[in-house]
Amino acid sequence: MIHIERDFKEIYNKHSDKVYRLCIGYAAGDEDLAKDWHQETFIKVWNHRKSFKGDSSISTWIYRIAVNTCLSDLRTPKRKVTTERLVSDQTDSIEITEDRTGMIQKMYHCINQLTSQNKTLILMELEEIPQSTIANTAGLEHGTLRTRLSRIRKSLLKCIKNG
Amino acid sequence: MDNDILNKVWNENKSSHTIPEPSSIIAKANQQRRKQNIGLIVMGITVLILIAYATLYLPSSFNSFSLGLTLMVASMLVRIIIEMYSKLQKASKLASMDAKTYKLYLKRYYKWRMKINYILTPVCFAVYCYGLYLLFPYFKNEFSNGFYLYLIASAVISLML
Repeated sequence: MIHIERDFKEIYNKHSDKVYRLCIGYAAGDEDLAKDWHQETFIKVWNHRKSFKGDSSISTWIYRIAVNTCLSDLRTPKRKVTTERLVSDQTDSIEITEDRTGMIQKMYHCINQLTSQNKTLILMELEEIPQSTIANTAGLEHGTLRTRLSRIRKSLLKCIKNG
Repeated sequence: MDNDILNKVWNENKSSHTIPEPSSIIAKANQQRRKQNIGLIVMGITVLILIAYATLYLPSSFNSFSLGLTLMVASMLVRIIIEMYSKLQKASKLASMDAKTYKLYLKRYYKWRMKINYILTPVCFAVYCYGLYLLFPYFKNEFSNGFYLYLIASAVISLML
């Protein structure tokens, strides 16, 4: 049991930051929501640890759980309202300020306009997660992923520049 | 070059944030699991008691009172078991599917939830109400008029809520 806990702590320390930032991207900057999802993700990792068969890397498995946790929770009506409210708040802030925070808020706003799958792809890419892991997490072919990422990057840049 | 802009903006966001210690996550997960297990044990014992009661007493004295009780308990059990199965399935799929497959699964899952909410739940509710209705004549005979009226009123109010 002690060595299982030690392994979990090691995995947690290695992936926690990236999972949190993936969640905050999904939550359009809502830190409380991101913390909930982050915690939920690692509770699931702990609970399902016996079901991990090693078919994929442990990182892929954890990112899948994180992405699916955010995706699943976003489908509930309560969460949708929260996200929509956030988007409208951020739109106001974009008009007022163009400082660092404003740029990040603008980026959250633009990411939030993407489809759920595209959100996953760009958030993982921005976290510099290897493309093979992204492809396995999202369930896409590597070639398709590369094309898709290039398209998403272009539309994201356009959105950030034009508002 | 443009790609660098996105990464640069995103990396500005690498602010300090407090995340819980892994030991607190393990403690929370274990606490949740304990609560689930207690719930399952309580439900299991209840089911065993009901089965024991039904096996011992119902064959010799099966009447509308027994039928009413059976319908009420069975409808509740069916609803609870389906709810638990549905949630457990969803949790196991979440940990085993890639995002694309999971999204498709969620579509099917929510269609299934709609069927549960709009077909199965009203059927269970109707069966439960009918079971309760069968008990009222016995309540009328056994209890005072005032208490009988109170039972009817509280049953109607709790069902409406």
